[in-house]
Amino acid sequence: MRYLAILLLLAPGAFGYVRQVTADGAPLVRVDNTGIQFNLDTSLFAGVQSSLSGATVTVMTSNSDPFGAVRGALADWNALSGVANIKFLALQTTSVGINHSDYIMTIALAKTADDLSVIPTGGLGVTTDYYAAGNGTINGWTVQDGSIIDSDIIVSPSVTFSTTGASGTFDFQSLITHELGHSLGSSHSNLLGTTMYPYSSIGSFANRYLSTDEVALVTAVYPLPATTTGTITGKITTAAILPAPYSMVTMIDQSSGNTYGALADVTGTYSLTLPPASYTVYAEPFNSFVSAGNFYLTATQAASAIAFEPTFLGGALTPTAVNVTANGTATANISVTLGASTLTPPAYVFLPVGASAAGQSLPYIHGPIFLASGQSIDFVFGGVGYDATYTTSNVLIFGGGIQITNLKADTVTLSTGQPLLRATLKIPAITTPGLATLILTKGGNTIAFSGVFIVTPPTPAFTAPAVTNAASGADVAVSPGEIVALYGSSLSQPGNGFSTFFDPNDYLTTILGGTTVTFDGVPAPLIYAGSGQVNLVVPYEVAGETSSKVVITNNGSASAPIAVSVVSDTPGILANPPGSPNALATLATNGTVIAQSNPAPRGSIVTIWGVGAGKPSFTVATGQPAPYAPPYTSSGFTCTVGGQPAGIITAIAPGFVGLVQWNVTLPSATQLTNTGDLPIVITSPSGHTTQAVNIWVN
Amino acid sequence: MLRPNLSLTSSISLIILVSSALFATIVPRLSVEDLIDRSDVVVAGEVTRSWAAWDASHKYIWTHHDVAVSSSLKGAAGSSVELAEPGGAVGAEGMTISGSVAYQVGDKVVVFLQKMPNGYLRTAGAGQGRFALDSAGKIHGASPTSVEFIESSAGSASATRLEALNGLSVNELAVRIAARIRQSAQRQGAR
Repeated sequence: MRYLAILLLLAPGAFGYVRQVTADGAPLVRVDNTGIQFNLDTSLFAGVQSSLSGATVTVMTSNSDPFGAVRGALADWNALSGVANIKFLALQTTSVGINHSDYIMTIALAKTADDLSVIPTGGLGVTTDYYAAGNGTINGWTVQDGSIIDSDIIVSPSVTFSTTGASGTFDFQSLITHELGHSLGSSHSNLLGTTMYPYSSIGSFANRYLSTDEVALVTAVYPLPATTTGTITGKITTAAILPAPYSMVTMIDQSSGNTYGALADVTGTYSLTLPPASYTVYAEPFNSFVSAGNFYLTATQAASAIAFEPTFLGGALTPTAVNVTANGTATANISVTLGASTLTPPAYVFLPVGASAAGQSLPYIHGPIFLASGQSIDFVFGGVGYDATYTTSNVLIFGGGIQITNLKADTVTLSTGQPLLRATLKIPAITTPGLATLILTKGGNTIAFSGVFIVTPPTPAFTAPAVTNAASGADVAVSPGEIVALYGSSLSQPGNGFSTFFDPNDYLTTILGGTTVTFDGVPAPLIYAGSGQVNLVVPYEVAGETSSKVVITNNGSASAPIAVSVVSDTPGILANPPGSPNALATLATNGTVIAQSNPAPRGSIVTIWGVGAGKPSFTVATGQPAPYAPPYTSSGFTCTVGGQPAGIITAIAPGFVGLVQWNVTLPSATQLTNTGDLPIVITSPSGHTTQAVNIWVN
Repeated sequence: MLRPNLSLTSSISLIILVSSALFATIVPRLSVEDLIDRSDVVVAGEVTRSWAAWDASHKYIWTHHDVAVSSSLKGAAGSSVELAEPGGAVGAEGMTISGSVAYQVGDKVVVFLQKMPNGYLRTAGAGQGRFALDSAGKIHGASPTSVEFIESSAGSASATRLEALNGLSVNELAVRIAARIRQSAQRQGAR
């Protein structure tokens, strides 16, 4: 479900993409697009090491969950099934490794010299798409030139991945999300904030977030019926009407900011199918971010590309609106100014309004930048060419509704002696992530940072009590497998909230409405996600720890971490109705809910429902429902009803995640002389007791 | 009125990362020195023949390119060099791979080639090791990187960016390569 709702809201029916092609130029397309079965090879497991490339490298950190990360990536793409005819099936495991002719889509660690040789030096992984080189029948599929018949993802043995954001590692889910795009026939994108942008960096999660450009690809290549679109076509030329081959063209919906990228052909001609809207269109040459090689152009083709200034149709300050109507075709020819821009990426930092830049380390703009909305923030930048002649009109941002004010020279300078500039960006709150483009101009020179900002919802913040037992409301500590409630603001999208579901592998989802919660980097199964409250199951991986760092991320906006104490169990009894002093309890004989009108007979067996029994002694994965047989029971719990001891069996409710059922044999009439609404107390093996609740007994 | 502040106390506290160091840690590029050091063979020439074939284990398709050598700049190259990049079509089946480098017959190039574990000579640093030669014999097309998901690579403040090679003649490049090889040999000898 990851970003499903978001993307649907962002870009329904959007188009715009660069496709992977065969050796003879036919675009790749899957033949199994409605049932794509990927398999995770057993070579990729937490803690796996490899010496294939020389030195021994820990390829996957020991506390990672590669299976879960791949499931997350598959869910990302499946979230687009509402706008495109694609579906990845539940992830399976395999031990067959990479084999082009088995028609088994495999994700595997490079195991042989042959595997290693196909990964470019320094690459994190590659996708090999095997395709039919002509019409015919393969593996029962009717194929044509470019039909993908097998895709394998080979993971580099030379670098370290994690699924927890561990320091110094690459994000495995980002890699897989990107590579799955290749398996669908996508090439790369020139937009810096997209999943298919060809670069990543240590610690970056940016490629996890599918953008409008990826939506565009699958919507166009795997269309659903009754999609309304229009077309923009045009030619990029010089003033002398000579073609500008292989220009990159960016289109920005002037209303929503949705951004799409495309590549012109050798004649400078491009054509894109888009949702009806008014677009700003500009062309730019290959630059310091994206090169001809990213689109597999040959040396001769690359050499034909010319240097020119990024050029807007109508000019950057007053761009022409290109109106695309349903089933209509709009033309957007752009005449570019020859010559390479003298502007280079500036050094930058974002700071609270008015905060000093002194002491900050400023990287150059080199890739996507997350920018939380709902705030005003200072954009401080500088470097060669960015001097005191700058005015607000030299800094343009398209998308996100971002306003730029108060551009001025900063009070500090770079250590190189060059001045810094500072502008305040006012970013209106948004609920779903989108891209924004930064344009800097000076004296006829322009540099474009296409889709560089991933604008996200406002930063989530916790409010006390931040983490509470979902049954008792206690906020002392959490335990493995406990269902808890988180409270705060901007935790998820506004509205009625999102209810949970099981993913194709029958695990409780770890993302709801774009919200994720991690405990020490391990994603927690989610039950409900609302703007002010999120309910979840604490991962079993916290067992044995004394504290855990909790981070909630709302569509790319991450909270500051908070530390919560961890204990072995935190029993709490669900109340019926919620907030009342009565336990949620049912009669074992007929399942009816115990109430004043339906009291439990003394000596009978009742089921008390709750949370926080701790990690069961059986092996059960985080997010995996407890099986029906054998039941996952825990020993050592004791119970009293009306002050008298009662028999008790503890189990994780079969078919549920985190829900505990205590089967309690009420004291007999001989043992328990009182009747009525009697207190019931359950005590864990570690001595923790449930909150004060009662049960009706007769 | 924009007013740059040149006060010593504030200016010295701000650190800017030099480009090569930045890209060494974030989006790495190979420097000229990296590229030369990594390459087993560097030649200038023209692609005269291309063909696709399965590798020895019949696992991956590679497209091989014969380059008629006009200048050999590093390594033992004869009158022609065969380089290979993964991908291509053989019979009824084809393979594409993200991160491969494209060539076509007639491409006039300078290529930095690295011997891969399977024995093939592949473009070093992926697209970073491929340059076009124009009709005047000048090098063009140096661009940051052309592969995906590049990990960190070596670099230092003194490293030379690949863009510095744009516009050089093959002979000028040869001088640079020879100097780098001598420099590396001297370093090794000093150990």
